[in-house]
Amino acid sequence: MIENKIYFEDIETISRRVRQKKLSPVELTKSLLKRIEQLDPHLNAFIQVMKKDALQQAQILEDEGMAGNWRGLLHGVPIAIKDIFETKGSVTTGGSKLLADWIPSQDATVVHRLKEAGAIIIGKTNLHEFAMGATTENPHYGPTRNPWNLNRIPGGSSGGSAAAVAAGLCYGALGTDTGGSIRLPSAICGIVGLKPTYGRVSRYGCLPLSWSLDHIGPMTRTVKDSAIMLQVLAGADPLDESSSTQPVEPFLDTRLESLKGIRIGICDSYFYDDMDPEMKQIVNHAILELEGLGADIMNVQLEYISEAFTAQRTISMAEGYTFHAAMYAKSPELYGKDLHVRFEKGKSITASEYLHAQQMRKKMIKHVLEQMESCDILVTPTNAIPPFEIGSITAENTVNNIFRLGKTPLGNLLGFPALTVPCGFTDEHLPVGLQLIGKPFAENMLLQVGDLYERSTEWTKAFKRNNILEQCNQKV
Amino acid sequence: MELSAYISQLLEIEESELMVNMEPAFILSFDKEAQA
Repeated sequence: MIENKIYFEDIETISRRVRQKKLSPVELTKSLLKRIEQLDPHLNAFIQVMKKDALQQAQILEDEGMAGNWRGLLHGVPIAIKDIFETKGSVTTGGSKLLADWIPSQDATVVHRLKEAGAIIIGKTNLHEFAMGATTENPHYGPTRNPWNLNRIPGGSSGGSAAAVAAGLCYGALGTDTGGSIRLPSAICGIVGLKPTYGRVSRYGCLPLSWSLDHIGPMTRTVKDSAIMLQVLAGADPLDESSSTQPVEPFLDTRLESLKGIRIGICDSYFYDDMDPEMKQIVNHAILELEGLGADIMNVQLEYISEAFTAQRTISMAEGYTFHAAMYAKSPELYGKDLHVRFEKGKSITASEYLHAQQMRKKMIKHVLEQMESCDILVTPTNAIPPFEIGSITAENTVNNIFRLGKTPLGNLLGFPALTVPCGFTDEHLPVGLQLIGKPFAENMLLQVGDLYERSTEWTKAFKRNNILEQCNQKV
Repeated sequence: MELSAYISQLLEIEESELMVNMEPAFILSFDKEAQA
């Protein structure tokens, strides 16, 4: 018999109980599948639940465990993956009608690494079509709903992954992030999301949105769980020429007890522009808490933000269109309305505009690195305004939504690592996220600071107050 | 099935054209800076 609270346990706890043979991966998987069956008709977090494969994998891992073979911290832990990663023998839709029947013949590198590490792939999560938007209102598979308020968006594009983790339908999920698609839905759904440094995680076997801006990372309920997942995901991959050869250090092997000596940069302009006042107050309070933990807080001035975002839109739209050009020209009816808007803009970008955008990107990276010489990390809001009501946004706004909803896009243009951790709730009981941005390959510092902040607050325990079950029962 | 083969079959587009379109382009790397 699986008790109810187990759905919101962290990976560490589940892993320990599996290793001690106190928890059966098969029973755990069956129990989660039942919960998914009960809740997902209301949330629509999954495009495909991999019942048969998950149970088969759980049995293999249970047998291995009984024989004393333990693969590591993900052994027997059910994980969900965004339906943008290739899965051998299982449909990979990319959230599109175009790929509704595509069955890849291989696993994406990240899927392969998770499986080898003992993770049970429980299902493939819903997303904004081809990850090209921030609302996860998918025209082909329906909208994913926010577990904290079923009438609101979960953010996107990895909205299904965020909702599944927040609703206790899995213990962690994979997301992709081109303008904030891991961090924004994580913040909006009250979980932890990590976009690692560009190149830190192989993208082989992941459908691209924009080669220059795409990143892959974990979405979990605790910072430690993100560290556990990143440990498995990170590292060079000969199949992905953009993957970094930097050595992968042990993440979060030491946990901080104080932030003494850590310099945190705060940038007043841009990050607080057009922000909801209540959410701003919550973020400011979180910064005071970081100071209370011993961090030195200092002001950092970032310039060229507007030019940088123009460059980012140009790169994202041009690269996104290039990948889809032939398919869109042949069968535009297979794409949703908001992708039409995006592609029509992408199509008209000239070569010199694109190259100028890449030049601007380099200039911005250099500028931010210079400004960060005086600090170790930047701390900013993640989500800036409350999530939209489902169905309230027009197709024309899709490209700009990520810039309105959150303060995440800069991290993609820079390619620097960025972590979001929950830092409070609004009066409407909607989660707010705090974003930590580090220098290239400084994931461990982000994880250490985020972990200490998390342990010094109560936000992770808030899942117990998530009334997803009651909300779903009211809708029945 | 490879993505390009699937699309080629579905939409009757030359697979070679799709393969070029799908090839990653213009990639950033921090490796050199990190090693310096």
